[in-house]
Amino acid sequence: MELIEAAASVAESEERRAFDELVQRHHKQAYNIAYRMTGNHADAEDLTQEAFIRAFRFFGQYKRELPFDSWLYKIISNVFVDMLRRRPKAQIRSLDAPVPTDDGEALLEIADPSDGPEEMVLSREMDARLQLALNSIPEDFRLAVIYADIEGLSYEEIAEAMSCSIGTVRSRLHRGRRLLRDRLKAYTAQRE
Amino acid sequence: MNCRQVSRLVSAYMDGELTGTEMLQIRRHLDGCRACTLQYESLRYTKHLVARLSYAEPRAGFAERICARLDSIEVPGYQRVWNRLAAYGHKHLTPLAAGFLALGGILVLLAAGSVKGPEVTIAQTPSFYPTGSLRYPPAEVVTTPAAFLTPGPTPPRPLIPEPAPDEANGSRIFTLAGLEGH
Repeated sequence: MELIEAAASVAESEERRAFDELVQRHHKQAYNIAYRMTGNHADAEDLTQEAFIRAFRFFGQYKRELPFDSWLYKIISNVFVDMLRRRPKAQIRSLDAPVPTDDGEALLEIADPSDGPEEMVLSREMDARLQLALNSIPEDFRLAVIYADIEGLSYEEIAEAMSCSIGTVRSRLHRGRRLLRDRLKAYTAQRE
Repeated sequence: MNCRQVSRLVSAYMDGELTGTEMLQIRRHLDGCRACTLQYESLRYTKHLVARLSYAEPRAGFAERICARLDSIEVPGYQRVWNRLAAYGHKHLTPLAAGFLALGGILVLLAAGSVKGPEVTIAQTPSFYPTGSLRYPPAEVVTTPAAFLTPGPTPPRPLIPEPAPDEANGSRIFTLAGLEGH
């Protein structure tokens, strides 16, 4: 009996070590997704931490032959949805309001696509403004846009992560991008 | 393909997520339609902006904090057993064998359930609470196997009558006649 308990304990500690390595390897990627989903650092930390805790609880059910990040995407999506259910709706900020940056407040400058690559580098203000635009679109659309355009996932992978069909991904992504474009366009029109 | 169809598919076209034929049809349409080309370009630019967003870095020591937090997480015993079974299954069983095992488990559970038979729950309500009141104290619940119940002499009249069969077309229709006297 003692032998069985000792073997189980060894197996558990090995599993834990393997999981800690996965945390080290994937926490930055998970955090970046979480930040773009929630739009602030405090919620991004909560979401990332909660996702890893959930992954740890169900680690035995993770199929080792599949990439860990695919499994993690699915968990992050579920934790995000749960988080939204628990919390009141986040306040949506106007896109033409000053954006808080590390150096105080600033207004957005959107680079012209006809400019050269140097001008296309996004400024911090632009980054913050785009994040506000992301925050202002429905969560399902936002998730699809983040997975496709930031993480570079295929429609099939997004469908797996969001537990929906490829047709739904196609629709959410298209509508999400259109909304984002319209929000940014409305802002530039106001500034001119 | 017309403008409306192209507008619906232009995002998927941009991502290369359409069939070869659809990709070709849209490319041909875009070559000759300025409005659709503008829409396509604006969406492509939006995608480009999102893709160029900076990488949000967590605070230093975040991974260590997550690992430290995991130390306090107690995985329940049943969850550990289930995880081990699942891990063993993933490692040693083919999907077909796992499917057969799951089917066997379901059959065993169904067989075990059918031995006992259905149960009927009767809630006894103290007489000093009016019938129909929604605010009873916790009712005393008596569970009796259905086999021990004997049918009463006359079943009570239902508040809403059973639908009467419509002789004309064979379907069943509801009438108001049964509500008389209520």
